[in-house]
Amino acid sequence: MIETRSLGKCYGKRQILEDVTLSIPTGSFCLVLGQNGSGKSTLLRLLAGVTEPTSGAVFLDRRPMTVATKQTVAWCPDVDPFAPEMTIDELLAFLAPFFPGWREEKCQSLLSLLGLERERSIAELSEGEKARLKLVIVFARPSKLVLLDDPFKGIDRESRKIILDTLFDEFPGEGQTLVVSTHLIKEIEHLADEVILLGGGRLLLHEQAEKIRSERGLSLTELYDEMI
Amino acid sequence: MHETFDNHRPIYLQIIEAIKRRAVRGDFGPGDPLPSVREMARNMKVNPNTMARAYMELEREGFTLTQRGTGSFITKDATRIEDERERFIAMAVDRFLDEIGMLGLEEPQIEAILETLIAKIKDPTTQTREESCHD
Repeated sequence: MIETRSLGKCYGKRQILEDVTLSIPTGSFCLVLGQNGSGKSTLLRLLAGVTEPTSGAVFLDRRPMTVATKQTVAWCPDVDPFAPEMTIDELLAFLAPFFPGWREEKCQSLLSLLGLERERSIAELSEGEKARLKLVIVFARPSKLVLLDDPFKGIDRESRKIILDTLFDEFPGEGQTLVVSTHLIKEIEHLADEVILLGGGRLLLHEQAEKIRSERGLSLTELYDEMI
Repeated sequence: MHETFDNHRPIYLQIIEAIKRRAVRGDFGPGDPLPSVREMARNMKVNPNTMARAYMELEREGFTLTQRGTGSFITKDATRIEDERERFIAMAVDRFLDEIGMLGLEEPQIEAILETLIAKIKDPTTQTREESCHD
C-alpha cells in the first residue's frame, strides 16, 4: 500500500501540490487524471521519492520512504531521459546494473514484443518507440510500485495501442501496484481500479472506478468532464 | 472471445453477464471448470482484480463453486443455467418490444412481422438442425 499524508510541494513560492492525503491499495491499477499543471507529475515524483516533499510524507507499506524502499519503485518520467548517441543495447547495458534483480529475459521478450532492435540508435527512434523503450526499462525491473507519468504523451495511434496492450499484459493484479497519469481516459478507463483526480494542486477526488460507475452511472470520461 | 464493455456500468456486473451468457450458449456446461481468474481476465481483456470480483459474486449467487486448489466450476444444477437462459430471452424480447413499440405499431402488426421473420428464419435452418441431431 502506498499512502500520503498532507503531502505538499512548492517550487520557490509556487505551490504545486497541496495537502494531498490518500492511500492506494497494493495490487491496484490507479489512474491519475487532471489538466496540465494540476500536479500529476509532481505527485508521481513524490510517490517515487525522486523529489522531496515540502510538507507531509509518503509511506510505502506503512514505512517512510528510504533508499531501500525506493529500489522497489519503478518510476518512468514523461520527459525523454535517453542519451541520443547510445544504441538501445548500450543504454540497457548502462542501466541494468543500477537496478537490483534486473530481468534480462523479461527485457529481451519485451524488446521483441514491442518491436525494438537492440542495435538501433536512440537518436533514430520515434517518440512512440522511445515511449515503448521506457516501458521495457520499467517492466524489466522487479518492483512493487510502478509509476508511469503520461506514457501516451505525443505518440501515434499504433504505439498507443501497443503500450496499452503491454500495460494490460504486464499488470499482475496482485503484489504490484500500477499508477498511471494520463489524458487518455477513454482508452484506459475500463482497466482502472482506482481514480485520482487532481485540480490546481489539490485532490478533487479519489474513488474506486466501479463505485463511480455504479453510484453515479458515469464513465470516467464523463466524470472528468463534469468535474474539470 | 473479445467482449466490449459499457464504461457507464460496473465492469464486474458486465463480466458476470458475459460468463452466464457463455454458459447459456453452451461454452460451459453444468459442473464444467472455469478458466483461472488470470486467464479469464486476459481472455476478456479486463483487469484481473475486476475479474476476481466477478468470480466472487458468481460464487455468492451460487452460479459457480470454488474449491481450494482446484479452481472454480459452473454449478451442477442445470436449472440455474436454464433460468439464466429464460432471463436473457425475456430481456431480449423486452428490448425488441421496446424498440418496435417506438415505431407506433399495434399488437396485430407486431404479430404479423414476427410471423414473417420466424418463417424466414425457419425455412433454411430447420433442416440443418435436425441433421445435427443425428451426430
